[in-house]
Amino acid sequence: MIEVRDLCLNYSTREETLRVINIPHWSVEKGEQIAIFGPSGSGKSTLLHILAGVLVPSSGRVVVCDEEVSTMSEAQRDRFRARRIGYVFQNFNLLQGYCALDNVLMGMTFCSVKPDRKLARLLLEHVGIGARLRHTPSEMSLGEQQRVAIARALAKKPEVVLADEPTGSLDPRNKAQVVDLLRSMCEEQGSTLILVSHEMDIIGQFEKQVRFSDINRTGEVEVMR
Amino acid sequence: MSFGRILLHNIRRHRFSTILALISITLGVGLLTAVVSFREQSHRHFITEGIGVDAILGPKGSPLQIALNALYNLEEMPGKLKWSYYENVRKDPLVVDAIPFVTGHSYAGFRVNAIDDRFFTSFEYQSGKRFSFNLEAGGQGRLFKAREEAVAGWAVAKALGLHLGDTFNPVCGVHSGDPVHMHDRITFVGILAPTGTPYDRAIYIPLKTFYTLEGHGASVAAMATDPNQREISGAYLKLWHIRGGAMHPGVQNLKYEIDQSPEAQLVVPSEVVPRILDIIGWVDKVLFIVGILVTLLAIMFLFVVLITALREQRRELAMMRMLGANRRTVFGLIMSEAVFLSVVGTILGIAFGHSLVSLGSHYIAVETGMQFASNFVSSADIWVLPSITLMGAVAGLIPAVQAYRMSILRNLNITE
Repeated sequence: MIEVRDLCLNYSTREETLRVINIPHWSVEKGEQIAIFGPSGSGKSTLLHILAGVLVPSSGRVVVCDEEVSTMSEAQRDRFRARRIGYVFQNFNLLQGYCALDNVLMGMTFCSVKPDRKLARLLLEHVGIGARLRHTPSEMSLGEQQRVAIARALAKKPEVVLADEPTGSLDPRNKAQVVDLLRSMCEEQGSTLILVSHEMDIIGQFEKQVRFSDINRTGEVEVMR
Repeated sequence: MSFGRILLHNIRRHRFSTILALISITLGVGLLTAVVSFREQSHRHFITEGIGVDAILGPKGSPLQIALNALYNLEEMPGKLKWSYYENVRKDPLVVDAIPFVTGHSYAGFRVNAIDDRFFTSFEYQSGKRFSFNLEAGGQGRLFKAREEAVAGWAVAKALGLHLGDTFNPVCGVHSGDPVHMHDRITFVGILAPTGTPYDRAIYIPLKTFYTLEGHGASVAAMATDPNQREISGAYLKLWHIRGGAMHPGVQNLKYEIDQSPEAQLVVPSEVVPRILDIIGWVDKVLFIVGILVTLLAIMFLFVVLITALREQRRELAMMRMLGANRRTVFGLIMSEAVFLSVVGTILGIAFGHSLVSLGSHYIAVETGMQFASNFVSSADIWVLPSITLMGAVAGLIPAVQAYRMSILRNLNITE
């Protein structure tokens, strides 16, 4: 499903070149749910951006859903992201001014499937926002906003869901609910879930956990359990 | 979500500045289309169509003054013309028809012209169009027969609320305070159907009535019976036209001969009237330039609106990119917004311009009798939409390129 080989991402300044990502080999099976943890600045989110085709690695090979993302043109990566990737952010990144339903519809807009209002409603009902379809993000609590973001990410039935600190802005009760929701929905759809977090109580819910250590950057990604 | 819905949503998000931009474009385009419409309709009225007079036989003096007086009921005639001279010209083979008239009287602010009755029976004020008293066409009554009878132009009757049988005393002059012919009570027996020409704005009495009005003195009274003493203000001439509508080349010789004479001149409206347009032409030039400037400012304002909106929308556009929208889509969104606002603003502007023409035409009709149509399609109606759309697209280009080049991560602020 996901295979990373000799992946490097360098940030160059005038004085030095900083290697942010250096992963010799890492793979994820279809339908797996993995939690990546590590300190801030270690490159966890950057890895998600590379997997989503937002960032292009300096070198190496990234294959997601049998497509080699690392060699794609930008337009191909846009299409790839539209079709195959659902993304959940820490700060939700809902489109302000659009209601919950429109935000979910927007998640389907750029993939090849025609936006389905009925499916969007069902998804929002599934995440518990059925009564607030026409509410805009500013009219919802943080927990509700993240539920809408999850519905948006899953609306196009992506093969891979990337969640970057999805519970970072939530209170403990909402955190548990959001992670449960995310995991159960990915399981229902058969989507692979890669969740980045530094909260051990969240990470502990996952069977497969990956420590993304900056100490280990030149070598291997350490796989726990 | 369709592209159109996203576009409308974006526009709604900054609706206040959008409305201001639309108003600016509407004002600029409205002014442009109205000015061009007035200019082209004036040109059509004054030059292309004219009002049926090939030439005016008039006394010596300013040709422009003669044209304004004889055709547009403005100014005063600079003098009088001998009837015998008129008769000589009338007999010239190049003169197809000649209709003598006397100006210089008025009533309630409208000119009272004494005129030969052939003006109403044989004169064509436009090709194939003659004056009518037909009720269906908007006229009433009949042509004057007796000395104390008059016919009112349509605009006069409308303005004064005249009915058949109403009477008036003509004023001897065209200025307020001029003496009134108190003993000459004249009855309206006809109201002309509207012609959309300055002829609608005058009252007509029989030519001979002028000579018999009380108070003009014995010398004028003698003109009624003695053609050798008779004087007129001028005569409308219909001249010989050759094939294709052009006047016979011999007309130039006739004009030269008349102009060389010590007592008369031949005024050709198609030569003189454009000078009126030249004289007042600076007004529409200034208004046209103002219209262009307002439109340019509106387009610049549209540019500012789009740039400002882009700054507010960066995060949303970046998020759309994150959801799979490509660079061309966000470029297209901004360009579509620019083009959409330009097109809507231009269409509103064209409608506003036609409203201005409608409003202005009312006042022009009151002042001159000329009818300007609000539904007249001027050249501006054709070129303004593609031009402003193109300018709007140019205004949208820089913001659209900025949106195209926008970095997803930087604008989502999601880098670690």
